[in-house]
Amino acid sequence: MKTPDLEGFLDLIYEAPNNWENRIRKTIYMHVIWSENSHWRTRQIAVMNKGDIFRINSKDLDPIILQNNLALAYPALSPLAEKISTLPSEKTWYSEVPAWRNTSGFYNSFAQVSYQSDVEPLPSKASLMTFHPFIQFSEIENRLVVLNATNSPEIIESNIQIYNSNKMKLIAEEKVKTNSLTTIYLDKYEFLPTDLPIFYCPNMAGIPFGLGISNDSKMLSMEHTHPPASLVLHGDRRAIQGKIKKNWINRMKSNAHE
Amino acid sequence: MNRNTLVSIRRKIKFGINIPLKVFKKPSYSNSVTSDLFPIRNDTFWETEFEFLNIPGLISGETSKDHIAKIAFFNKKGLLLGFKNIEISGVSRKTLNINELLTGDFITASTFAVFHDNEAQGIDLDGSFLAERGYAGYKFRDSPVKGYVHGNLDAVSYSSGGVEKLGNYGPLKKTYSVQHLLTGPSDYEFIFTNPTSKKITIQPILELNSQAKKILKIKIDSLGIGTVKVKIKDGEIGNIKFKSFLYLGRPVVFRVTSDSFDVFHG
Repeated sequence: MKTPDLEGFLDLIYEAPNNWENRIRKTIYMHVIWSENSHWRTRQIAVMNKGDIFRINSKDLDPIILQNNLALAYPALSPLAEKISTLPSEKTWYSEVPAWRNTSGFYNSFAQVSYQSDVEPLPSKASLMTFHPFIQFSEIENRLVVLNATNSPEIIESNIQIYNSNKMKLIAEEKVKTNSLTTIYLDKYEFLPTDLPIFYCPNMAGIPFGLGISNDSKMLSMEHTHPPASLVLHGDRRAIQGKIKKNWINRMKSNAHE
Repeated sequence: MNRNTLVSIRRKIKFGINIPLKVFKKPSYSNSVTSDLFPIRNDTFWETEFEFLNIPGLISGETSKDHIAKIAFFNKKGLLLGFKNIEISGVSRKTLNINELLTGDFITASTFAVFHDNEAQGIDLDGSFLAERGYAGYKFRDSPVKGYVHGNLDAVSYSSGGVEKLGNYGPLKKTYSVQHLLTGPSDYEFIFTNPTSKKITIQPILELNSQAKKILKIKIDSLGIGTVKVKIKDGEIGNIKFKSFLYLGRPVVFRVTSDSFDVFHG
């Protein structure tokens, strides 16, 4: 991942998160994969055996790989072709309790910020709606970072709408792209500490992160927001998520016509 | 028998042996609300905050109504110290300074859970339970900037004055490998809460520069909290695993360096 003023990293560890679910021991061919719009490009960057570790730094990669500020790492059981039409589907580093992940994040010369990353390709026809409580108000730059990866390599631009949930007022629209990492600067919208922004994109799914960089660059802060389904547990969470989205989208539409 | 059927049978056997029950139980009462058990840092140099959101309002699409929730505080041995009511009026977000709430009986609190009142707004969850998996923020030294981490365990539920433990544990010890490369110079703290009804023991297994390093095991009471501390010197890299009866023994990880800190779920 890449965002202005920070480098990205991904620490790969060939070690399953638990000792019972996936006991893969085969040699894997680690590739980075990035979109060139009409196809996916791949490049092998390491061969890893069980127990190996490998760090990918954005500054060490050919800039073309991060042309969309996003490259995906994929552990393949054999070398991939240089050009592919969809993302590989074979599950190699895979588990469920918990999901097999690796640490990814950003860093500068003072600080590092991490999260546990893994991406299943997002559906190409889906929407994103999320509540964003990460804006901080003292000596900090606040950003929204949206990650999208779909099976299809096409890079499609969409609008993401920014609302204030307290007033249900459309504040702005910004651009986001598929198969990219998009950075949106938030301080210009002058949110208050009691405001809870809503980000809504009707035609693109995504994983949204709040990213904060202290003015002296010595502290970085990053966390992803939950999808609305995470507000409940058990039962038909997908149906509840549908209801939540519908409730808010109706309010957005009705306010737009006032 | 085709390959998919074989894979499915093998998976069922593995899960049946290792996780015969769900990772977290379903609450016993239909009107229960659930919460993670969030670690409190009020030791030297640290502050804990929490982003209190009007969750029922977010579900119903209407956050202008007043909303009340209870914060339950527990000490490090898992003893419930009591509840404090918190209120949010007409807005969606209120940042709570948890340290400022730790007065009187609550001064020894080490974890907290947030239970929302989901009945006042009359929302129909259709068999689901309202969940607080929200966002704790931590400040270190004089930094004005928080590191955020979201809730990761559906640890406890609340109904009619009672707190229920939701975490399951298994008959076999399992190893959880933190999916993070330990790098120095830094001080790591791996913070565990115990959502089960049983006292658990966690054995850390640390490897630094390919050499095994011994670390003492920790014991955590039901609903209690425990920390494993590891110092990584300049030039050292390593990884850490934790062995326990927990189905999912995942810690919150703090990585403190000379200038900064990072917090995330392991």
